[in-house]
Amino acid sequence: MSAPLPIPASETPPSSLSVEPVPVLAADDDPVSRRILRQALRKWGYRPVLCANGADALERLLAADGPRVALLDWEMPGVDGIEVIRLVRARTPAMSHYLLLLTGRADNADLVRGLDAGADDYLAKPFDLEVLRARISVGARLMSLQRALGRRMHDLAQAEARYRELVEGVGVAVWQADTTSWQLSFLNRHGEHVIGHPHARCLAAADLWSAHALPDDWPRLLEFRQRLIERGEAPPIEYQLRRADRSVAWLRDTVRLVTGGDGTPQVRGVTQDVTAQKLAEAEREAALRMQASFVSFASHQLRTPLTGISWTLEMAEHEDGVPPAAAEGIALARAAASRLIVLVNDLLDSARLESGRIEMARAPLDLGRVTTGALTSIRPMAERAGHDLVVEAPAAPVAVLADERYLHECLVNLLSNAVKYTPAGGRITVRLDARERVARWSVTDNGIGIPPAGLARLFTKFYRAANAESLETEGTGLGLYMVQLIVTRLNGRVWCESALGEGSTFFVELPLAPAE
Amino acid sequence: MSTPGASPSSITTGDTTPPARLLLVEDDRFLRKAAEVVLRRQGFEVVTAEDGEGGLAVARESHPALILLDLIMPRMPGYEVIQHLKQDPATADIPVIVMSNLGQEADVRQAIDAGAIAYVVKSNVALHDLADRVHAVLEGRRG
Repeated sequence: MSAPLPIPASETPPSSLSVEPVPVLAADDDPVSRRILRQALRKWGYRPVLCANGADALERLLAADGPRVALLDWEMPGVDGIEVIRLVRARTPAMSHYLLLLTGRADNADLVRGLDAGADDYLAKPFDLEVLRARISVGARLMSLQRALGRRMHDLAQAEARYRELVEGVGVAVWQADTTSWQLSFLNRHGEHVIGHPHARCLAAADLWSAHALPDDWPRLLEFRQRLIERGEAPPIEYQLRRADRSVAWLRDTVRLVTGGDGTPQVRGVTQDVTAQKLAEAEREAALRMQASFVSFASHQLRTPLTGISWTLEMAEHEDGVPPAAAEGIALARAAASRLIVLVNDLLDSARLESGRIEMARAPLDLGRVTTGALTSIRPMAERAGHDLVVEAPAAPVAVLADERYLHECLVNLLSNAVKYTPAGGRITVRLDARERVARWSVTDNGIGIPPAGLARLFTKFYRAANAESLETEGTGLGLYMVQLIVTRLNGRVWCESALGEGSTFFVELPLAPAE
Repeated sequence: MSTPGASPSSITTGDTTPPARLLLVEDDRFLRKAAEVVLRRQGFEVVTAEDGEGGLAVARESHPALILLDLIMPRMPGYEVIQHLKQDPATADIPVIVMSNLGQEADVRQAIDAGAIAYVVKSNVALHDLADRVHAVLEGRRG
């Protein structure tokens, strides 16, 4: 039985910043005490939860969203305060509730009993309401900290779970090993599927790699380890490993050096199964090789009879006593054979450029020199057509990083187009200049020009503009396509400006070589 | 018309040095015939073989001044012929011009690495140009 409490005289709001009033449970079998406690709690800014007996208090305290701070009268019929405390402590995690025992018993033995049962504090009746307020405030603050901590722990647990999911779920092996024995000290559960040996055996193996990596890859793995230890890092390594089921997997290890708890260097690694990628890569390689070798074989097979025709005609052309009409026929046939050879060569070159398997040098190269070389090649053809060839180029070298042979081919291509598609006696100008960061070539003619509809498709394979098609001039429809393939490959761009009947200008821009 | 097998008819310089002997190793009979005729007309003595082993045998017997060598041939490919030629001190110094319709960089590199001094893609060269190349090589050697 508890004595009635005095009505609170002064009140200060609790230091809590929470908008929602914190619930505080007060259990007392005396209605007057309950009323006083209710008033006091409300004044102090809490939400009072009143209970007349221990069983009710216990139920509310054990509810998931029940009060976490409680004032419990020791002396209650049925389940008393001590019993409530004992049961709450037994059924909830430590520190989940702040339980304050209120009692008229005041000797030390009782105090010890109360605290032993799990009370956080003890207040002897009659007590000063200010003291009670201060105690509740401590309890509320403690519980608020506890809740914050709980949330943090929960977040952490979630993060941990997410991390685990990541580690276990993305299909990689995550492991740690020491750099001397290379025995694993840790391996994620999923790791056994990547490595292909049971988890326990992975951890038990003295050196997983020396036991299962294919002998051909072992020297590379040793180099990789040595490099890692010497330099503290090593680029990822791909190797083959024999799995427990005798199949061979391609694995890729990405590792870094860390310091273990005992101060020894440790390797932390992630192993991916890259078998599928490797197989796809190999298939692609094989397909490209096959295409390349097919192109190479086909071109050889086509060129040989063409050479036969060409050489035999050349032989016949210079025989003594060939009638003029026959000589003319032979010359025409030779020209036709040459065109066929050009077509075959262009097809071969473009197929190789398309496959990307062509080796293109990236050496510093003066475009002035390439210009001179291309002009030398084209001059006889231009002179036959009675064209003027004009060059405008700076005296200083214009250096790019490129392959001379291919750039020569590009410029010769543009120049021969200019020669072919310009009526006799035309003017063809080659300009070379270095701009900011790019070198620019332009080839301008005053020829037939390109119809607007043709401009957009000019650089596509086998395309020939309508007016070029009707002109009786050789052309495979591959020249500009190849120019575009080469220039693009060298990180440059090519385009054309043209007016029908007035002429065309082709531009090629290439990145300048970085200054020394 | 020059008669195959006859002695070369086009020595016009009046100097008494015999015509340079070329060995032409080529399995395609049309190419062999055309090249033989045109080169003869250009003032060379031409001996021929139609496969790799034959070419090697003729090279050893007839000590040509220069060998024009195809690559893709029955009974020993051109690459192997060069290797054998270079291993034999009797033939190691004979300049070899490879003439093939293979034309990829790797093909050229392989031939040059094996010891060929030049590589021509047959389809891209007229026989007259080929004759000029041979003259240039031989003159380079002589000078």
